[in-house]
Amino acid sequence: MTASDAIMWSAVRSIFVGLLSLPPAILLWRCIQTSTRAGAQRSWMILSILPFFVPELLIGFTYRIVSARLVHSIAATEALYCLLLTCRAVSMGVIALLIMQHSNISRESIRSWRMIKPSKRASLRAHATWTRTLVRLYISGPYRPLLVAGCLSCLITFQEFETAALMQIDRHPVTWTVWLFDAHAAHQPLSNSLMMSLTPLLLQSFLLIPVFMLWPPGSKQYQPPSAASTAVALESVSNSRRAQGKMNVALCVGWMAISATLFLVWPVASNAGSLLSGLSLVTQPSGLLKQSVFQIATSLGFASAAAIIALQIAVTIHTGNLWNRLMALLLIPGLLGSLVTCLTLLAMFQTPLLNPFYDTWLPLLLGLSLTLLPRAFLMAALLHRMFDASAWHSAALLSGSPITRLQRSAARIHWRMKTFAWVLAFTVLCHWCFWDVTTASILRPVQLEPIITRLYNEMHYGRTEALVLITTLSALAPWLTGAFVIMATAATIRLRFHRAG
Amino acid sequence: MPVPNSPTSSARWALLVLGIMAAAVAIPWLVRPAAHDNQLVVYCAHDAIFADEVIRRFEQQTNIQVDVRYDEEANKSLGLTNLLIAEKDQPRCDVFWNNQTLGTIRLKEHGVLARYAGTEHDRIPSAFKDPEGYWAGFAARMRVYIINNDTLPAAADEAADLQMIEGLLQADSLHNVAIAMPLFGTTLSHYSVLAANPGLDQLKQWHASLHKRGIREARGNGAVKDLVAEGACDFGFTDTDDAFVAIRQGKPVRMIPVRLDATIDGVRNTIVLPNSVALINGARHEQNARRFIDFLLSEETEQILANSASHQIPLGTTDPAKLPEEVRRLQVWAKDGIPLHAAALQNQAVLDWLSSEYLQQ
Repeated sequence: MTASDAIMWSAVRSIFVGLLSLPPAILLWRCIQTSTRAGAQRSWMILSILPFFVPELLIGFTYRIVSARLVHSIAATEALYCLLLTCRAVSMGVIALLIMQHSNISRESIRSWRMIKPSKRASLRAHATWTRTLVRLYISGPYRPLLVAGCLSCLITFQEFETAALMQIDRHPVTWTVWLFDAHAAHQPLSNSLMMSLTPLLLQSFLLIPVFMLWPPGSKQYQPPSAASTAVALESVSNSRRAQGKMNVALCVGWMAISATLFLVWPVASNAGSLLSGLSLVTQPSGLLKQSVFQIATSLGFASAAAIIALQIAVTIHTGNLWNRLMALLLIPGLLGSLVTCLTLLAMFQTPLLNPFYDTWLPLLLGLSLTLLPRAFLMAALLHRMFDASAWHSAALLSGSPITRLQRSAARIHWRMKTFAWVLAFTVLCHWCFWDVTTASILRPVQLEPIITRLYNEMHYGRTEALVLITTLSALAPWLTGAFVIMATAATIRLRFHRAG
Repeated sequence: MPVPNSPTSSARWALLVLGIMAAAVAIPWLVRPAAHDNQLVVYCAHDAIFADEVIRRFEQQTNIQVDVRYDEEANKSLGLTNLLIAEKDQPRCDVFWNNQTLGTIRLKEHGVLARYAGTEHDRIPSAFKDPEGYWAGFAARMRVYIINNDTLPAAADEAADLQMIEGLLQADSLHNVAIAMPLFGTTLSHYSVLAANPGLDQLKQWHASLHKRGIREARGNGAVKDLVAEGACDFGFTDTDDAFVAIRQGKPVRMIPVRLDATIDGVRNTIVLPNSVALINGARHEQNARRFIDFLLSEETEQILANSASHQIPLGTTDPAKLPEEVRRLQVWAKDGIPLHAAALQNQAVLDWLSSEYLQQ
């Protein structure tokens, strides 16, 4: 298997998965948009994007045994891997569709343009101009959300590494990321590896160009679209204007059942027994718990700092002026994947200029922030998309009321729309940062062992009980921190009005 | 109308709280003194959960604080040996504790190591240490066949078991046999041993023959263990520590040593792969490093590692009463271990050949 073969396999698979993921993503997106009750809408959304939040490492760990049992069928191994990737790609697609706003180019505009198609006697040049404009109208009009969703789905599929590395037997599933990893294991110099990654970089850049070109402009021009107007945009593509509602819901429920089983039910069920056995380790004097708590705390420190930095940069890119939007270039390393980014950073910090910072906290923090930035950008965009300007305005009017009860209500609404939303975004980013084993293992300084590298070790040594116990503690850490902050800020509001009234 | 497109006011306050919490956790580590007399930096390729106990015992006895960088599976892309070569001019590591010897010998060739033959050096048999004193081996693993008891029930004795396995290895189809990718780890050492005896050309033929007949190639010895333990393969090549993981988990497996055609006193050799320890040239904490090397080569450390779940085999003299039964059984096999000096000389040639096989552009 040559590098070219591995890249080709990965590219073909990512296109296949990207295309396969679009119909379910559109259906799920439509179910979210057309839900009339806020609770139902939230449930649809959480279930739709769930696979995106489950760490690739845990999925690889859960399905490595299944992959071992499928060893006699390459097709079955590849199919399982593709299915797992498709679930993740669908989530990515749903997020992208939720973020992308309605284009100003309506179906009527396209219809009008089609009506002025040049006659058969017109020149070839006139036909070419007309066709080019039609394609442009489609791309920047109704196809825009689909193109962005498809490109992003292809991109995350192409970059996948940790699940493949744990599942791979007989070099299947074939991925260029694992190939690059093996090249390092075989003591290839870093410069060789970076050279090897040039072709994948070019391919990923090719996927990034439409994303950058078609990404919605900053919030200064932003007007929250109504669900209906956005729905119209996609309906023109899916060509199913109405009805089929029940059918769509049934398909969505079916898809979410598969995805929740693969990413939630099965991983939990297959590891629950080990968790119970692992609880006994808490009482053993091995120091496991104490050591793990320290490692979790340190990882939390780095994850928090990286999440704050990434979120702040993402907001600046999203809302700033042209100069600030040039900071979008910072998204590129993260979009190219953590493996390539970290290897490049490692090479940089080994140069004489940056060598004084080698083996400090700086490379790790920088690596985590850069790899997290694209997701932070998505989170910021998602929050903008979901922001209800009229509710905000109503709350602002309420806050001017002389009645304390109304002021309190206004403060609650503002808290929910602003503080709660952003702390939740921060918590989600922290969660992702926590599970980034590639960055942590390549860039961590000697004195620090992040919890994720310990988890990887426990996984390798077959200490499933310890692994599941530490995984549970680690999984809870960012969420408990977020919950603490949310409760603390809610309590301050309560306290403020308690004193006032 | 104000649009809260950034985490302003109370949200910023909330983030500030989180920042303070993060700083509270990170500051003790950040302000840690860069280097002091009671410090030691160890790069350790041995499994963290087993090495931890040894290192903590050393800390308790000497009051020296040891900072360890482990060679996680996740990090094998980088490899501690590569890292040590990259840091050669400004080393931050004082002692390298490798889980094999061939990589350590490679470091000697790159001038990364310094000589040290301390108080415990004489315990170790000469076959497992560098004649010039650049490194010494201790606590070993072995290459074994891991066999599924359900699909291949045990034969009458070990010799018959081995005969059965070697017979199966001659079969036309090896679809139910597993081996790890030989680019790294102990499978690379196994290949290097074979390159020394019977020779590189024969090794190439053997490798080609295995693949032609469809042997399953996993990404590591742990994955080979999984394939056999789950019944997807009948048997495979792995290490004693991985085989012990499956046995501890109650999987229906057993192990017998891989035996080479080469012999000593008429007995076919086994492949014994010791840990190795070496002092880094230019170590910043050389005195502490020497104490740590002496500690690793001591009987106490070999006993700890023998009694750990990986059941490593002591190379120096140890009290048999303090060793578990499994290790005493392994010691019998380990006596037939082939010396690794010749394999070390072949290591780079094998890696070059395998790179050309597996890593074609």
